[in-house]
Amino acid sequence: MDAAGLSPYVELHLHTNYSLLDGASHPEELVGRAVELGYRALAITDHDNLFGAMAFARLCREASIQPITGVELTVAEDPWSGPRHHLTLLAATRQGYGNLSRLVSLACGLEEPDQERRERRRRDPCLALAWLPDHCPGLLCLTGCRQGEVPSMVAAGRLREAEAALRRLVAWFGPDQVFVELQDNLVQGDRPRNRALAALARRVGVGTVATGDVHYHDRQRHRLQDALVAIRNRTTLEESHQLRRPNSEFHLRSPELQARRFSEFPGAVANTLRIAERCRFDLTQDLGYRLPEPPVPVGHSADSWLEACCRRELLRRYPPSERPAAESRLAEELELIRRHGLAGFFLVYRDVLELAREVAQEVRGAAPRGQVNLPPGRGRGSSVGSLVCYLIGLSHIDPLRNRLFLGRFLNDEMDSLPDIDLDFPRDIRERLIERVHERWGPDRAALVATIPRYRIRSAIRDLGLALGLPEAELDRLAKLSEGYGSSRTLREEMLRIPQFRSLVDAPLWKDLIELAWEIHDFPRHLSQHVGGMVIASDPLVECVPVQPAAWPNRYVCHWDKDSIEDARMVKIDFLGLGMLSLVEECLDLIAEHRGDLVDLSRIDFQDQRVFRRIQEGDTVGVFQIESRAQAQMLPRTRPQNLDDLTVQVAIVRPGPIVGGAVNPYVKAREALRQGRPLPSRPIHPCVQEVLGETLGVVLFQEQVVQVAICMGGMTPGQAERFRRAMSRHDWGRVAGTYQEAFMRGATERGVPPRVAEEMFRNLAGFASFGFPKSHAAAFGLLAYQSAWLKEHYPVEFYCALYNNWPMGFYPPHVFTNDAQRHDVAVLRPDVKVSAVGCTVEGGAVRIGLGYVHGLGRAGAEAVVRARQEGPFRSLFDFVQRTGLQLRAVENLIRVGALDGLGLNRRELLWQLGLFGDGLSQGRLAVPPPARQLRLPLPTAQDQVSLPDFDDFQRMATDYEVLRLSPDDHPMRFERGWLRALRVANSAELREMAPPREVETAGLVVCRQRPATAKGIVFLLLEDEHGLINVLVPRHLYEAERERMLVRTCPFLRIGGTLEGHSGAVPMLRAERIDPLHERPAMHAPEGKSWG
Amino acid sequence: MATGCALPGREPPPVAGQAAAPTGRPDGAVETDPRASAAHRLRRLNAPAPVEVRAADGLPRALLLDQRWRAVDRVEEVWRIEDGWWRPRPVARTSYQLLLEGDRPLTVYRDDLDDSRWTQRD
Repeated sequence: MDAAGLSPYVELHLHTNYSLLDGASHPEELVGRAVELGYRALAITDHDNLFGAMAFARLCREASIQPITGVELTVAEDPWSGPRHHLTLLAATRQGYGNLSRLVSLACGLEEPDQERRERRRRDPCLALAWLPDHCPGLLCLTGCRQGEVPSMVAAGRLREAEAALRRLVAWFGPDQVFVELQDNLVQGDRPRNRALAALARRVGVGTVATGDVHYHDRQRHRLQDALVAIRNRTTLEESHQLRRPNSEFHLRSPELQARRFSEFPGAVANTLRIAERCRFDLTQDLGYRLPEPPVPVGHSADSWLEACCRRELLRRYPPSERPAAESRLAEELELIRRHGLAGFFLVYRDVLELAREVAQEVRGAAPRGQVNLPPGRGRGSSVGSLVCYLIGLSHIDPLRNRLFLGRFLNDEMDSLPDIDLDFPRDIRERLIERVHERWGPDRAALVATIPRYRIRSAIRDLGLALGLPEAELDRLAKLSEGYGSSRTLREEMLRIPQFRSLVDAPLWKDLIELAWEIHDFPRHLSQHVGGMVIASDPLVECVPVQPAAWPNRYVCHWDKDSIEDARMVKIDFLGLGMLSLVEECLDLIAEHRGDLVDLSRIDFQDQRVFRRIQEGDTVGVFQIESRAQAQMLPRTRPQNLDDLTVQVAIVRPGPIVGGAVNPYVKAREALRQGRPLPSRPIHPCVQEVLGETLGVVLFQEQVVQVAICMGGMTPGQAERFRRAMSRHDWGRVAGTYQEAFMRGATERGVPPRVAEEMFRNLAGFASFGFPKSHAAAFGLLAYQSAWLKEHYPVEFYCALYNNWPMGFYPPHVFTNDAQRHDVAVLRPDVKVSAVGCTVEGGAVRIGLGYVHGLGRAGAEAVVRARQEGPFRSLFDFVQRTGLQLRAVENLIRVGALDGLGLNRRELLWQLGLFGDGLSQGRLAVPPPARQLRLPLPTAQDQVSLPDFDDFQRMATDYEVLRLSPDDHPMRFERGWLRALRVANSAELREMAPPREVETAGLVVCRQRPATAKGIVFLLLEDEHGLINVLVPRHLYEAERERMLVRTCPFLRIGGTLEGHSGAVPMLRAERIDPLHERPAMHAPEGKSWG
Repeated sequence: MATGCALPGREPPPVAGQAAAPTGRPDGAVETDPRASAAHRLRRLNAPAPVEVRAADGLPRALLLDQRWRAVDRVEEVWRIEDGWWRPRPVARTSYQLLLEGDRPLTVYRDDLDDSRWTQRD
């Protein structure tokens, strides 16, 4: 520190772990260390990206450190083949930041003309130097690390070329904007190179600047950095000697130490301060992003036009008796919108929705669903609570009739933009995203990024390979570990698994554990958010880098949702919702096969038949309430109306579960139904109004905000910030501060500490995700509509369910068996009648050819096309006219799709074998149908008579090729010997009174190990009569972990206690688990594993 | 060894003075089989030799060479190598390129694990 207590040096070259697989510290760690070391300013210069720039700037600001935004760009004369170098660029001004962002975008392929080049740049960013001269204003240029063009030439003794390269930079940026970068990390050659660079700088007339090339916050982290280098180069530590850094000197050193290390170059140290002084651009404050301003009619402002649109719609939607309340709510919302300057924001959404209407019209075309008042999409999330959103068409739920709280969406003190999420059927969403890109262009619209991070399995695999540990062992350990767990739990996990227990202190394995601890939550790569888009009135690319996405013709920006929120940018979530696609298809099928045009906004919402099914938990395929946990809870909560369904949709979420709200609610509801007194203690009066409807517990996000206000004494703005903070990545860091504030407020209101603590725990559960009521209301409605369709039009419903899979909770064989339990026949594919997708055929569902493994959509279309020319006369005729691959034809035969050709399946396979020489590498040697096969046809004497598949073979083949069997269930074939051993089936279990010791067996259709369940695993078994719920206690799971039975075995035999029945589904607590067979007798049917 | 910021997918050229592959001996010398005949025994060229060093402020000031203390005129360069931290015997050295009195250049390194000093011809 100098006399004024200021540090003598500022770090201007620093990589966070957003320099993917290179930087070895989180931004939080680097900023924390900088605080300890007394830094007054700090730059971020990650490789070719600004992924972490906003988070870094925010952390610096919170720590009272001046953030400097920069990047270390990879540059080349010819990025496709020439040598590459590094160049450090720092944003001095807003203009400079815009240039920086654009240069990064260009390096990542934004303006590459064709898809192949875009893809190469996306994966391997590099900026052609020709782009640089036009983007220099506002930037300070440092000549880069040892791999900079100037330093590397100097080190190689090519001084004349180095001088020319430096003079070129000076010509582009100007002499005051270029600094020769000196680095000294105790690497051999650093000092002579620095002396030569300093001399070169003097000769050219530019300054020098000292930098630390920081890659981690603490010296110890060099081990992880070494491992990251090995991972990035797909090699091991042993094999990567040439690629790794030579020592641990790339950590953040103290300003004093850096000043001493560069004592030979005092000017270079002083220049760090001068440069920091010049870099006044602050990403947290100076971004200047402007909301798009949609055009409004002459004579209107955005505010007045929005008001006019809303008022017109209000008169249309509300009868006179309801208007005063609606007028009052509208006035309140418009006033908030005016105060926050958000009218343009809402009008942009209105524009987007207009665009969506056009797209929906194109997609639906003349289909029946286009004529039944279907909106193009539906609002979800907190926006559903807004009357303005309802009136301009963003939401389909009336917030007044549903008593939805506004403050979660709009409030007086909000400091970030409100969320508006829109759900669309998948086909409409795909087209809409393209149209938004077309409408605003890639420089004004982009998808929001998401950044997948290291979890335990990825850490085991990547770090273990870098350490040279045996791949098979790593694979086994990864499979045995909890997939989404933190990599910090690795030691704990290994101690739990007998095979690995003795290795925790063994060489290399111990390193693996330590490195896994350090790599926890490190970013791995850039991906795209499920549907979030940002749009801007000014070029977006000057606010945040934009690059091509992996998906052709889409573009993704460099910031995730948290950074977008910090930047106060408009993020529109276009989410694809499979259930909306299902509903739309279902409406078309109903119209086509029954002649009914169903308007789902006008169905009977009190249909008791529908609610009876829901109350029984008979909900496979129904939106949001089909899961094992839901089906188990529905018979206890027994929803009777849409309000109840709103609660039901919200309750099985991590927020209420972690917050301990579920059991009290369910018990209270049961008590109410049975006329017993409520089991929980009375609701504290200060939250009575807020929590009354949910019987004293917090189930909705709005309630989090309201309780924080009523009990914690927060203002609406503070409460909303509290709720938002919980949903962020760094909640753990700030949770204590919020808890203190809440407890203080509660004490002032006379709430006993124990009650306040319990309530805060309930609230804090929402850090693990919960629904706003408005969102739950929207989803609850769709849940009812899907249940209604299933009840009244089951054939069409199941057909659409097959066609829109994957979606929901179950694999297709589960809804096949469910369909049969509901008297809907499922017919196997048949080349004579099947279409590409599944179809309705009388009262049955015909499986489409697209379901046949190995056929693909193109193959299925080829069959349908060929059939249009006339019926298939023989296998030869079929093969010749469709031109399918051998494997595809074989699969069609095996599942009986060619049964109608007069031969049994074995005979057809035999005959297909006779064509073998006429098929070249699985394809016809000549393109059909233009020419004949070259070889002679099979002759009669070649054909033999063979027995057909037996029932088991048919079933097993169905599961292998179709993922379902229209005829049989595998457990039927086991029943004989199981019965002899008194192993009960699901039908027998249903008849038994609990508690009772039983043994059962079944096909595992679903495995769940929720993070909220304290190590319990839930299995859903299926047999030929129905489903069985099995709870596997933690100790049993751990004991059986090494055999991997619970996690991977498809057929299980389970002994335990029958504890009850959830509707028609028996519930067992497992005490013994065994595989049904030591060696599987058939291809393992698909099961779903969650968590 | 890479020394700058990494260029993904490209190997930087080897840098002179990188650490020798570990062999289990602290000086990194190659093990020989004592049963082999002298003619066939492996012998390491330019093997490091121990050296006594007087230091001040962490830098060498004088070296005992040929039983005579020689003053260090200048420390031309200092560099560190750390490698093989995952092995039973890692490598951690600090090297000093020195100019001794009479303009004689010499490289000395300190084994940071046992604080021994070694010299090796350039």
